[in-house]
Amino acid sequence: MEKVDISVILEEERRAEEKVSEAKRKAEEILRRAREEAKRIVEEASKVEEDKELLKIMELERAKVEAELKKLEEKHKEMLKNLRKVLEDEKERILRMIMSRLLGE
Amino acid sequence: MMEYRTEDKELIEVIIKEIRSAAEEEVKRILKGAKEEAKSIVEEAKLKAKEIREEKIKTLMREFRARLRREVAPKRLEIRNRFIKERYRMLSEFFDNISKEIILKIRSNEELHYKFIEQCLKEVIRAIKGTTIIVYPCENDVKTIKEVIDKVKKKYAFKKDIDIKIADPIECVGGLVAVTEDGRKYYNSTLESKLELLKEEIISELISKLQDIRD
Repeated sequence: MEKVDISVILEEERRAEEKVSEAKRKAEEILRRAREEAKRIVEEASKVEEDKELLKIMELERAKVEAELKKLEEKHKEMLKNLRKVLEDEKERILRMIMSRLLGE
Repeated sequence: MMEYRTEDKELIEVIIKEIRSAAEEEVKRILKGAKEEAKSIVEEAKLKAKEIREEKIKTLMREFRARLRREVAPKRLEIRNRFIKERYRMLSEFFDNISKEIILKIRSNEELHYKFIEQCLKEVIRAIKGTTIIVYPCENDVKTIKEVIDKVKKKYAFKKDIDIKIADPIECVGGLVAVTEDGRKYYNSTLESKLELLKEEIISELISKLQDIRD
């Protein structure tokens, strides 16, 4: 059998190895980018303080508490108004009661 | 250049094809693997980010609510104190006006005035069990007290040993202050002290009456 020139095959193998190496480089690059992206995602997650949604929730809670305080003040005003009425209604009874206590009746 | 036989040429082509195909397969496998790993790295980061975010939000909200509570507590207390002060001011003013009316009524009506002084003396005799009682009358009640003393003594005739002496008048609206001779027992039966005691009692009663509207 006659000898076959394998240089063509070797050349093809070299090219194939180059392609695989190139693919490995690309793969490394893909992973590097993914790691960077992952790092960015995690870092981004830590910056919650600037989250508009969260700030909105806090604002709403603050507004709710302030509204409660206002409501409490209104309630007190109403109670004082009620007290004024009670005092008007009770005046005669209390007057009589004090008189009878002072006079020992 | 080496000349190949057709069979050799075909064999070489098959081998080259094989090498190319194997390389392409390997390239595909490498890139696919890298893409999958990259995807999983990003997905994992997203999950971790979600956890971090949720935990951080929890902490921030906890801190925010605690800060808000610290901010609100003194405001709430201030509102409540203002209300309590205003309520007491109203009640106090109400009672003071009633007191003025009562003082005027007692002082302007002789019958009521006598009755009041008699009650004051009765209370003193009941409260101070000494044999000699020294009475300090309010400046405007000296005359009435002198007149009422005999009546009271008769009513308390069973306490034969009771001796009531009238001392110098003192500055007060009505009624009297009494002490035993040795000064060890003391009884304040002035109109203002009685009204002061009633004031606290009546204010408490009115406040509890108002408790049905709770704040």
